[in-house]
Parts: sequence; C-alpha cells; structure tokens
Amino acid sequence: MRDKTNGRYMKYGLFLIVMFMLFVFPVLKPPLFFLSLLFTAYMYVALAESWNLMGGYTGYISLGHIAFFSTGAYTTAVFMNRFGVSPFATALLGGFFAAVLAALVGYPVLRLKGAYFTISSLLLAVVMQLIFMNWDFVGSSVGLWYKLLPVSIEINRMIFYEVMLFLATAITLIVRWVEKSKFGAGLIAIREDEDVAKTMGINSPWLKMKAFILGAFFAGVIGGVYGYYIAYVHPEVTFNINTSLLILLMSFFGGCRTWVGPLFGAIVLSLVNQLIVTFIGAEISRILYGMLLVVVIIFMPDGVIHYIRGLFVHRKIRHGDSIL
Amino acid sequence: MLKVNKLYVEYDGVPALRDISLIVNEKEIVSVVGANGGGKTTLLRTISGLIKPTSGTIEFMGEEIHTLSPHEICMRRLIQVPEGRQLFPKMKVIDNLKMGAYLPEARKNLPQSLERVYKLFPIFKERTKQKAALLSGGEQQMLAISRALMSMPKLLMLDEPSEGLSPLFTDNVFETLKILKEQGMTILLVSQEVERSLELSDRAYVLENGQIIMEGKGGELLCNDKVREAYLGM
Amino acid sequence: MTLSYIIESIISGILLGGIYAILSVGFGLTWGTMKVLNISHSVFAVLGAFVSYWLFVKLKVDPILSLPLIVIILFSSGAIIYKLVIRPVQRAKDVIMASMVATFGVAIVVENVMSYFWRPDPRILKPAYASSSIFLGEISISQGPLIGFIMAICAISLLYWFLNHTYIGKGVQATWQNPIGAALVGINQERVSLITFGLSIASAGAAGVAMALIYAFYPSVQSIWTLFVFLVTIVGGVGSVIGTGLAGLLIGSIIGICAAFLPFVWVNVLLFALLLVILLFKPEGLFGN
Repeated sequence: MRDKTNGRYMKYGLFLIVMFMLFVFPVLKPPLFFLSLLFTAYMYVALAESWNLMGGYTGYISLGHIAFFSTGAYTTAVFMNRFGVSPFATALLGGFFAAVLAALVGYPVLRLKGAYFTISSLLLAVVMQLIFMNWDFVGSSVGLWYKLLPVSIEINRMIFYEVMLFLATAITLIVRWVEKSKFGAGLIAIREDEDVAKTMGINSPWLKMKAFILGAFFAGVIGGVYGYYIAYVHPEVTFNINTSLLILLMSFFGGCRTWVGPLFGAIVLSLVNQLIVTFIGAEISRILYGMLLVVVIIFMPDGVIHYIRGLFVHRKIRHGDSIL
Repeated sequence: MLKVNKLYVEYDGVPALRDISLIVNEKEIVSVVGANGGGKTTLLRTISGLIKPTSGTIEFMGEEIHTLSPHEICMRRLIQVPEGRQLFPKMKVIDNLKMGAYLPEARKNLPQSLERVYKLFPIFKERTKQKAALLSGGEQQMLAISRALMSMPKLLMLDEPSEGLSPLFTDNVFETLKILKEQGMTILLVSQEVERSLELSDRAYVLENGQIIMEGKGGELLCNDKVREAYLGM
Repeated sequence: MTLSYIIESIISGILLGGIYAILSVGFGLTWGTMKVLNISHSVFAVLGAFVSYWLFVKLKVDPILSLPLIVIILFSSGAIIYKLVIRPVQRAKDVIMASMVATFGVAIVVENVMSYFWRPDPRILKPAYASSSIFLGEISISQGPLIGFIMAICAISLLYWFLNHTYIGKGVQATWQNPIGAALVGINQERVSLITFGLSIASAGAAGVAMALIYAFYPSVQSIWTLFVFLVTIVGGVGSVIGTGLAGLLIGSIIGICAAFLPFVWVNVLLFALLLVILLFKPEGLFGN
C-alpha cells in the first residue's frame, strides 16, 4: 500500500521535473531548429491525443481530423488577414468553429460504421479542401499571408513553443482523464461491441458525438495556434491527407488503446519524420512511414509498447488480432 | 479407409473434442449420433481440414491428412455434405453442381457425374437454371448431396442431412443414403435422427460432450437400454 | 452554348465514365469478394500509366500494344502485394478496416517511390492518334477518350467473362457467396484470392493507361482517382461488375452535363458531396441488391 503511494508520488514528481525541464528549455537559447522541432512534436502529440478520442477509444477511424485542424488555422488566418485581429483568442474561436462543424457533420456521419465512416470523414476533408481552393474570401489557391508577431524570431518561436507545450500537456491530461472516466468506459464499450453497449444502456450516439466534438474542438484550437505560427495558410498545406495519416500512424504505432500510445507515437515519429524530411527528403520519409503503417497493422496492431512488453512477458500476441 | 486416432480439438482454449478414435472401413455406413452441441459438427469439420486438431492424427487411405488444407483433402476425394448445406445461393442449380466438380479429376468426369445425379434426383434436370436460393429446404439438401457426389467421393460424410426437413424429405434423404449404400459408397453420417441412422448403419458411435461414450453395431446400439432411454425416449 | 456542344459534353462524359468503371471494377471486386478494401488500388493505376508512358517515350511502343505487358506487370505486382500485405491482414478480426489502413500505407509507399524516381511533375500520354478527333456531322469526338473507352469496355467484358464463364472465376464467386461451401468443394481460397487481387490490380493498370490518354497524371493524383473509385463503387453497389459499369456511365454522364455548365472544380465538389449523400442515405448503392 505504502509502496504504491510512494510510486505514485515518484510518478508525479518525475512528471513535474520533466515538464519543468521542457518549460525552461527555450531559456537555454537552443538553435531555433530545435524549438520548431519540438513545437511540431508537441503539435502532433496534441493532434494524436485528440484524434485518439474517436479513433482509438471508439474505433471510429477518422481521416477528417485535418478538416477541424484546418478550420482552426483558417479562423486565425481570416481574422488576422481580413480583420486585423491578432490575439491568441482566435485559437479558441477556431476550436469553437471546428466543434460546430463537427456537430453538424457528426450527426449524419456518425451513424455510419467502419470503412463507411472513414471514407466519409476523408471526403469531408477533401470537399472542404476543394471549396477552400476556390473560395476567394479565404484566399483560394493562393492562400493567405499575414504578419508574424511583432517581436524577434527568437521570442516568437519561444512563445509558440510554450503555448504548444501547454496545449499538448493540457489535451493529454484531459484525454487521460476521459479514458479513466465513465465517459471513456462508454467509448471503449462502443469499440468492443456497439450493439452490446447499446443493450447495456450506453447512449452510444450521444457519447460518440461528444467524443467527436471534443476531438474536433482540440484540433481546432491546435490549428488556430498553428495558423498563427506559420503566418500563412494554403489548402494544400493545412488539408494535407498525409497529415491525417501521420496522426493515425502515430496513434497506432504507440498503441491507440491508451493515452500513452499516441503520446509516445507522436513524439518518436514526429521527431524521426522531421529529421528525415530535413536531412534526407520528404519522399523517403513518406515511404518509410507508409511501410511502418503496414508493419504496425500486420505485426503490432496493439502498438509498439504493447508489442515490446509482450516480447518480454513472453505472452503470445496473435498477429493481426485486436481492435482491427 | 478413414482412421481417426486420439483426436483432440480446442476452440479458443476450450476443449471441443477429447480423445476421439474412430474407424470407417470400405463400403461401410458408419454413423455418429448424439445430442446437439456434442461435437459432431466439429468432428466432421476437423476431418475436412476446416479446423486444425490440437493433437491426434487422421488417416485417409493410409495417408495422414490432418495437416492438409480443405482443398487438398477434397483432392483425395474425402467429401463432406456440410451442416446447413452451404450452397452457393446466387448460382444456378447447374453451376452449384459444376462447382462440385471444381477439381480437375472430377471435372474430367463431369458428364457422367451429372448423369448420375440426374438419375438420383430427376427434378434437377428440369430445373438446371433455377437459383439455388429459390429451392425448398428439402431440395437444397438434395442439391448439397448432389454437389458432393459431383466431386466423386470415395468417402462421403454427411452432417445432419435431415436437419429442419419435413418428414417426407427426411424419408427421402435416408432413402437416398440407402441407394448410395447399395451402389457401394462408403458413408460417415452424423445425425440427431438416432433411430433411423442406427437402422441404416453397419456400425455407430455415440458422441457426448466431445467424447465417444459408446460404440458398436448399429442394431446392437439400437437395442441398448441406455441409448433407448437417452435418445429414443423409451 | 449550342446543342452540339452539350451533346459533345455528354458523349465525352460517357467515354470518361466507361474509364472510371474499369478503374473501379477491380476495387469493388476485392472489397465485395475478399473483404479487402484496397486504398492502394488507384496508385497502381498511376503505376500502369507510368509504365505505359515510359514504354512509349523511351521505346516508342504504342500504349495499345504495350497494354498486355502492363496487365502482366501489374498482375505480378498485385500478387506480390497480396503475399506481403493482404494475406497477413486477412487474419485480422475486422479485415475491411485492417486492409484499409494497411493499403493506405501501400499507397503512400508506391506513390512516393514513383515521385522519388520519376519526379512529381504532371505528364500526359500522347500518341499521335490521341489528339485527333472523329467528326459526326457537327459533333466531334476526340480519339483519346474514345480509345480509352474501348480499352475499358474490352477489359470489363474480359473480367465479366472470366468471372462467369471460367471455373476459377466461378470459384471466386463461390468463395464470395459461401466460403465454407467453397472450401468443401476443393477451392483453394488462397489461390483464388491471389488471382482475384492480381486481376483487380491488373484492371487498375489498364484503367491507368486509359486515364493517361485523357488526363495529365502524376504520382499524387492517385488520391483523387481513389475518390472517384469510391464514388463509382458505392453508387454501383460493392462487388457488382455490372453495377459498377452502369455507375461509371451514369457518373460520367453527370460529369459531362455538369462540365458543360460549371467550372471543373465545382463538378468535383458536387460529385463528392453526392457521394457523401449516398453514403449517408443509401450505402448499399443505387444498383446494388
């Protein structure tokens, strides 16, 4: 008993130390490259965690997450470019718009199951991309440019670093809390067997809707900050299908049954991805993560953490089993 | 001809068959009787290669077949008429029959096999173009048997061939089996119709909870008090 | 806007629809029969287009003549993908979802390998005859789409013939209708699956050549083609060859009519919105059973 509480304090202590170190990291004046590297890693942590609410817990695999992300980015862009409004509050507004979009789309789309849901979510992203490509108000295929924060690039990167660190931490903690709550138990019951869950009195349409909207809200906020960070939006940048897939891969790679999986997957893969993109080439990186996706689905459908643990415990994990 | 030796089968870790040994000799009719859920279907599916045994061996014509896949077992002309008939519902009667002769050896013999089936069940000659799904339950069972015959079986296994059929068609099925026996076919029959199966069979096994609890000549078992009490309600 | 212009638009739409049909038919086949939702389907169409393009540019082999070679090459690629990816994935609990995610990976790999070796620039397959037109009175029909259409019709007919008039083709159908029954008449399911998948990819390759006669192609165009494949397959009903054919023609005509009045991008928006609506209200398709 005592050991257990001690262990818990150890964990909390460790968590606080790590967070503190990450928090003060920019003060050491590292090269900007590292800041943007970590910024992107945090962003993917936040995205993967928010995606995992639906994709991991309920097993409703969405490829439309970038639609919500882009909604956030475009909200910032439009407010900056058209109205000259530039507080971070637009990020929250982006989250709000994304949530509204999710509510509108979710009502019909969440009735679909399996592949049909996935395809519809992908279509949502594609249709939005096509519309944004041709909608002059949001810059159509030229995109929208706007000013960076009126401070030096170092300070600029530092601010965004801290904001994204905060977002990633907050979202991960919220998702972790959801996982352990009754809400999360309901979502997991839906993944196991939606019909059985319904007979157990779980209001599955409502739970799915909540998870979908919450995930979309997070993605919108993240997009809002991101839009501010890059100071330029373009449909082909924000609505990139590869981003959706990368998020999915990160969750699956880490293991999408728990909040730890996306966290681990997003950190490892986003760092590896960025390093390969920077030093070798984007195509090679995509080739590698495409292969990784296949390998993960075939050999470690529960994620690499589970897989490695399985190797040590000598418990036999059956290939191709589990949530898929 | 068929020799099942100390067969164990598990379903998700739960034992379904335990220590099953049985023999079918050439030109014999052997039946396996017992209550539902006793493991009869599992036994036939294992022999056909649809399920892999945990341990034990299955020999057919002196060759071990329990490691082979279903189509390789079919090639050795050990053919099953499965439970629930498992026809191809959207295909015509004639195509269902032709699929029975899918393997090259059977395909070569297609006209003769068709002739034989039409002789046994003349209605199929008139209804070659009908979709299998539109046949009545009894006719579907006849078609399933016919499809198996198209594969030119050396040993024919039937899984509950009279299940869900009207008394008239049940008579028909057992009549057909009698004819096949007279033609010299070796048959392994699994059925809940205990009395009729035992009457027809040379030998029989009683399967209960995945184990063989009794075996003997068909007639002997029919007179056995326990069998009479448990299965015939006497 | 004259009447002949509208008729021309409709005709070119129908020709295009035939090509969409052959692009989709294999996809629906693997989804319907093997429960394999192959997202990498159209990336192999692009691969087919590339092989045909290189044979034409480097060796001056006409796309029509090289078609059999392309079918063979893509069938083999399909067989390899089947062995490496599909076969292991078929053990999963939910084969459709697992295959969908895994083949997404395959699509990315193949797309980026092409883009790495051959650059992401758009290209078009332009044999001399493709740029000329046939005139019927006032109506002109360009030969590129016409030849693509004829290729597509031949390929669909071949596939249809294979499925309904050969033993292996019937075995494919039998496996689809009743896997246990199929196993018990001696059908080797792994072999049947491999052939089905190989043919599906081969048909995609042929479709890619036909597409390349009309449109510019580049590695990442596969994701747009994939959406068209979805559209046609869902409208036609998953797994129905005839349904897919009809759906292709229907969608082609819609594209033709809309393109006469709307800018092309809005046609796409309209079509994908239509797909969303169909998914929501009639996911079994308009021509499905």
